[in-house]
Amino acid sequence: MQYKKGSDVLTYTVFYLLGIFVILFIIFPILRLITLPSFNLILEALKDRSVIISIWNSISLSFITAMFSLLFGVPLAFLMAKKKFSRFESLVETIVDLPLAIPHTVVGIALLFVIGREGVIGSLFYREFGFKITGTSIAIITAMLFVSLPYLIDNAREGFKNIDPDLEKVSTVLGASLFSTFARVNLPLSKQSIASGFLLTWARAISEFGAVVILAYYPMTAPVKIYDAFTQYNLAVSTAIAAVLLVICLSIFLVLRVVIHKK
Amino acid sequence: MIALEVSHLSAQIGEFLLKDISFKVLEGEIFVIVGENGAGKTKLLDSIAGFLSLKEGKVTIRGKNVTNAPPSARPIGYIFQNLALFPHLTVKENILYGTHFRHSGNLDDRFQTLIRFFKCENLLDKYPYMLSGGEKQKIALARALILDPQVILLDEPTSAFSPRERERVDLELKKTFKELKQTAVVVTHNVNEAYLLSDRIAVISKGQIIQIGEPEHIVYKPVSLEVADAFYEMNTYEGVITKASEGIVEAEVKGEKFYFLGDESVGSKVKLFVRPEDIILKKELSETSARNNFKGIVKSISLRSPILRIVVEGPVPFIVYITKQSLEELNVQEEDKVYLSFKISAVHGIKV
Repeated sequence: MQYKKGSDVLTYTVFYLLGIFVILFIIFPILRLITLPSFNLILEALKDRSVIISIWNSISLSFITAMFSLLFGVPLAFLMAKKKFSRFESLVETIVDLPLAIPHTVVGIALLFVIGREGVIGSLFYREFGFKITGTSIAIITAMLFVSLPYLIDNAREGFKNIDPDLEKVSTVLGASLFSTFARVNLPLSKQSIASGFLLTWARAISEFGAVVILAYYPMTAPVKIYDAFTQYNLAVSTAIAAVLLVICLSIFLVLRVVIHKK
Repeated sequence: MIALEVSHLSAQIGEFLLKDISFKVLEGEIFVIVGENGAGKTKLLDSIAGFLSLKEGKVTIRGKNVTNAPPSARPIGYIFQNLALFPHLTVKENILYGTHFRHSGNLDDRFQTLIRFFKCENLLDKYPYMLSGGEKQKIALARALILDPQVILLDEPTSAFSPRERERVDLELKKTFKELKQTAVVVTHNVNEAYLLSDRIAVISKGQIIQIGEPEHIVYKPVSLEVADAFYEMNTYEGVITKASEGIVEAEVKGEKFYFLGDESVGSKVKLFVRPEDIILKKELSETSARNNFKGIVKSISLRSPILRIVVEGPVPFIVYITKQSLEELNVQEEDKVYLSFKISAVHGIKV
């Protein structure tokens, strides 16, 4: 086959143009949002204590969610990477990725039937302790965890999968138990994948609105506050809150990304 | 004393079967298992190490039955083909890895002795990616040896090295094991490596050990065509015994007579093996003490560094190896008539 330099250049040009379109498509609305509200308006919005609380709620509860996803997700990801579910492997994979495919309002309603006052677990809590799960931080974390867990599990699983199996074997021959090998070989060697998964989970949890708003309108998270401001007050206030949340989130993720990739 | 005894080991790995494998490795011996890729060499090592459960059989290390012990509880070292150094740990941390789980004697003394032995004092703070292939192998060995294993298993130890380096690395390995009186089981597909390293060789094919013996024995007295094929190119023939007296046997192959040492009876079928380098090629018929004499026509001369490979056709075909200098002295060309001779001891016969 003849080597056609001209057609290669054309292919690259088209690919670059499409790629640049994608980059602009993402970056333009973000920049527009950050630069749109005046500084005074942002200061005004931040004076409202409920705005600060909602931002704090979003960041802290999503962080707790990401920590829970580590606790529950990493062991499952390890089992999946080691193909320990044998013939149920693809079933487990499908189940783990299900939250990615379900509309988040549907997730909210489904969870309502579990932790709501009439739900399987919710009713038990209400009967035994007089405690209503919906409308609490627990409900928010539950909703966030449900929609963001796949990010951690998928990333961690890929990390574990990429480890040379001979490293685990040599660790075993050198006398290490399964847990020692996990702690000294598997975890350190997949820490970057797990950290990336943690970041994505955190990011996904911060941005969750649909499931959260159904399970807990209060205490308000930032996305709910933005929606609330948008419907109750005006676009300017909600824009100011959105811009603040965006800047905080971007700062956290940029710093963490740099830290993770430096390691 | 027997360091490792494998008796009647059988294991099923998917479709593959390791069948009734038995051998003993003596204390301080280097036992090399040689076979083609896919013959079951690594699977056999994994079975000895405890990574594969056995269908039948027993693995004993210094008299202790370890058949049902997990890999972490077996007193063995295992050097993997890719050496499997932990990339996130320094050389020192790699060497000391096993000491977190197993303790053997004075650890500090042993560590110092090993790093002096392998001359890796300057490497201790480096990471594996900073090391050369040879350095990596030394660290992998030190990591295994610090636990004083009763047997060390090595999977294709020189596969990561260039062909030029392999011989040097093999000789170094042999020196190391002999100096440390370390029992070793090595698997390789490289017959040169097997020959260089081993005290004894086992040939494995399709999951079965087909011959065990000293290197010379395996190379010159193969028990089957498979073993002969595994060790270099070989002239092989099938014939029938026509005479046998006083330990000298005459066999007929396509109307030609071969003579060899043996005690087979007249009428039985034999397989005959003649190594290409044992055949003497001449242009003129001359007096020779060799009992086996043939003639033929040179069909091809090709270079097989560092020797020349000559194909001779006649009633029975031959492949002959000679040096370039011999070829020039002989002044033989393709389509020339040549005479071939070889000693009675150059023919190895197996009854079939």
